[in-house]
Amino acid sequence: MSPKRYTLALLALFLLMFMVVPATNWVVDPFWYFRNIEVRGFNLVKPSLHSYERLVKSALMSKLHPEAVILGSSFAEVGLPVTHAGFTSGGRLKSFNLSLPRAEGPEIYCYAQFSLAQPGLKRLVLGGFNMEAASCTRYPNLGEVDYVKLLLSKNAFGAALETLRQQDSKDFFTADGMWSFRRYSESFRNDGDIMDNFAEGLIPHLCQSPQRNRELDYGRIDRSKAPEGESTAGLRQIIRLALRKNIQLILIDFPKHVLSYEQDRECGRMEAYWSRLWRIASIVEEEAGSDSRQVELWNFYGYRDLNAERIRAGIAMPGRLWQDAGHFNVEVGEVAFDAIFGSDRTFGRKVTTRDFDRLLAEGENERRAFLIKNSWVARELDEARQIAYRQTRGRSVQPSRPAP
Amino acid sequence: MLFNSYPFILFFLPVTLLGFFLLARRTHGLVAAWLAAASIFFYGWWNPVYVILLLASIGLNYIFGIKLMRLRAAGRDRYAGRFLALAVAANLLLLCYYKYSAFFVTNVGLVTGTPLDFAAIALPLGISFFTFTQIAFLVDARRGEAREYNLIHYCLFVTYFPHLIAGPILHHGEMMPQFRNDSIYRVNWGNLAVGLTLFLIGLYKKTVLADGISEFVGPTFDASAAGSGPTLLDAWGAALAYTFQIYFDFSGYSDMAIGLSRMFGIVLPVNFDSPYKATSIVDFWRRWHITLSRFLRDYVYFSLGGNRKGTARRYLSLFLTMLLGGFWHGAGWTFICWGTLHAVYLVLNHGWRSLCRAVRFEPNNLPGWTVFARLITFAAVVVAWVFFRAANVDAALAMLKGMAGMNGQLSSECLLTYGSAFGNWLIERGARFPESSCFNGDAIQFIWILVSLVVCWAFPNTQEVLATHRPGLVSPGYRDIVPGRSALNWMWNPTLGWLAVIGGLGVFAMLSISEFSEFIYFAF
Repeated sequence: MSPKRYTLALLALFLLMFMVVPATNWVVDPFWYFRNIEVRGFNLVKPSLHSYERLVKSALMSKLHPEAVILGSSFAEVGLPVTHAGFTSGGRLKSFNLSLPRAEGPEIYCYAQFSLAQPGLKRLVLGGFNMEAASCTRYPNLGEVDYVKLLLSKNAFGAALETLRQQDSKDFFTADGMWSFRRYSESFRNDGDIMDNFAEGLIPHLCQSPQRNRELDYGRIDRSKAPEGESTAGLRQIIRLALRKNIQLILIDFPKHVLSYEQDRECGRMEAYWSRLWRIASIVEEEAGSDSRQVELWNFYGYRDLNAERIRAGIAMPGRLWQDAGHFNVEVGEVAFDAIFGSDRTFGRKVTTRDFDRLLAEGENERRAFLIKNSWVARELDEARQIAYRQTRGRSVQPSRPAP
Repeated sequence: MLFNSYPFILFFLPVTLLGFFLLARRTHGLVAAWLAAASIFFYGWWNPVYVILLLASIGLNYIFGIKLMRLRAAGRDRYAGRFLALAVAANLLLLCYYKYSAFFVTNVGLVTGTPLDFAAIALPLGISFFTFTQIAFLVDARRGEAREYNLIHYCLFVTYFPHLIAGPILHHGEMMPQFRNDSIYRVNWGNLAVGLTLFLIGLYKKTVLADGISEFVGPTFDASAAGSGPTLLDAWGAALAYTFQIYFDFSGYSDMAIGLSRMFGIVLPVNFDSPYKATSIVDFWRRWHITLSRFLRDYVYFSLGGNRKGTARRYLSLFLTMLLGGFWHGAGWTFICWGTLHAVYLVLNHGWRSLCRAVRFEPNNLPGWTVFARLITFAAVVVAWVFFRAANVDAALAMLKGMAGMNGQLSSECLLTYGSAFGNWLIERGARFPESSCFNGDAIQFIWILVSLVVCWAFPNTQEVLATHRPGLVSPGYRDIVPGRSALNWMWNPTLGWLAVIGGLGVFAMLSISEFSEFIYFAF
């Protein structure tokens, strides 16, 4: 082969590559950005999107201009129903779930600032937020999309091929930003698998000396006025921005599974939980007024069937309400949204400082009554915790065993 | 502009090549100007303001050079010597201002106990490289080894885009005759094929190998800088990953530079020659960043007396040369430590050789000596890289403590990942391990390191693969690169098989570009 033919062949190969790869990525659209061609069995299931959500989600906000947005961590992405009739005002509001897996306070704060700055936004449901402000220099390109990455990267091309291959995948994203997470994963076949999954979720919440039936220490619940300054500046800024732009802001304290509440209680963390809730409620009232309909805080603490699904219930993962102690499925989110945007208050309460004591008392009574009837809670918590201990064995920060 | 960017590959390179060969049909003088202008545009893409600095440096050094040549022609050697000192000082002053002033001010503040406020100055891209290139030109002009009266050619020599940002550091004498050679102005498909192949191999080294392994470097080094001590396996994992990252990164860049230049018919000097195959530190420095070690040898070591003034003076010169080499890489104590460590290695290596000669001992005759020597050299180089990469000396020491096993040998995740039964057996007997990731939690890092080792130790290097086409200039005193030198005799030729291999590597490399990353040596 002559050097000329070799060189021209190489150049032709690259020319071909620069045509085929972007065209494939554009047509298959593995990250659901372009949305020009959507064919069932060809590209409607997007199995690779979850690794690249941060590449496209904020850009989709800018492109789609939704009017009702959900923002938070994976809890919100998996469980809060973006098409709920109340949330979308009977389908009149174009909605989008901007939540991101593993998003933490600072990132959510920056995404909230970005969302509130978008034209046309009328409603924002925000969960997993911090009260502190954060520097958003780590997220300089929110709302922009990197076309080179979308069209020319090998990751995008790999994702496109994966999309073509896995159209029968049961794990799914929806075009409006929701994710099924582990609901349809093949790895969770029986109660044992689900127990392991719960146990893994408990690991970060293990403590040195858990104490069974620890009573709530009301004296340790801090009800002092929320201070001005850095420790609350983030939340205040978000509320002020929402008020200024006349956007309805719903702050959500995510529902948790009763095992998670019990673990926190045995580790003595419920006082801090209620103190934080009080502080947020007082900030909302300071900034928006005590009876504001525009900015509300909602809490879903409770011991009810909806968040007390047994692990050893013999139900397959797809039919469950909870994937683990934090990830609730959309059925739970539906009821939560019924409370917020409708009139069905079976699950969830709006939190105000005025009603705070009543909220606490009702919650405690509900818990006591529930636990008397449901002894499985202690058993399953012990079992999950034992597995969690086993999973952490050998680590230097090994939690101690619970007191008998 | 980066070589590994789409604007460069899709626009700058084709336009510059096309302009070069189209203009060459009319006039060669215009071609040099075109290439110089393109190179300045290439430099200005990063920050147009610093083009002024680059042009001022070129203009002044051109005037200095002409003056030196005239002084030498007039036989005024003593005056020429003083003038040279002044010219070199002016260059070093510029370099010091941009690169070292913050370091000096900070350290003076620390010594005097009064922290001094000093706004950091952005380091102009490639300043170390174009300053050293021009210092070499001035010294050559003083020695009568450089004669250049054409400003455009001189400007092109300094700014020539393949080498401008991160080398190779060029000798005036090896470039100017090539610029004057008429044959480079004709389209040569052989040069284009060799150049494109070199460029694509370099691009693959950078975007796939260097950037791929880089993800295993940061977490452990960052954790060390934050005060946590890595375990033995984590520390070695990160240090080895960085060892390969910097090699693939910089040798990849050099391959690209040599390949790009070859497309224009200009052959650049070889900069890397399988450095991790070295069997001694002396050997290592004949294989790693050859044009820098050549510069340091010719213009620093020899100027300090070299090996002509006795053993003690020789070692002192060697020590100072390496110390300066370390400091050239960056204004920080870590780079000084790195240079010092290599200086100590070199002194020990030379001492060992002298001792062997004195007692007439030939270690190379011992069975397995070469393997042992390669391993110990490699380990010494890896240890030194820790200083090169660490954020500060404390972080480097924390890493070294980890590598010495002083923070525990294995993390719990390692045991659970790689030796569950053994790990459990130990844990049941009371063993406790620090909380840390193991090779970042999976086996991928281990595989990356293993593959990199195989590539660096078993494979021929790029120059060897293309040896029949003489892709790079071999500097005097360095090992020649001839066909068949490597055990694996892979000889590139424009064949269908090589087209498939290089095409595959090229496609993979180009699709990996979108993860933007700079070359490590851009910082120096």
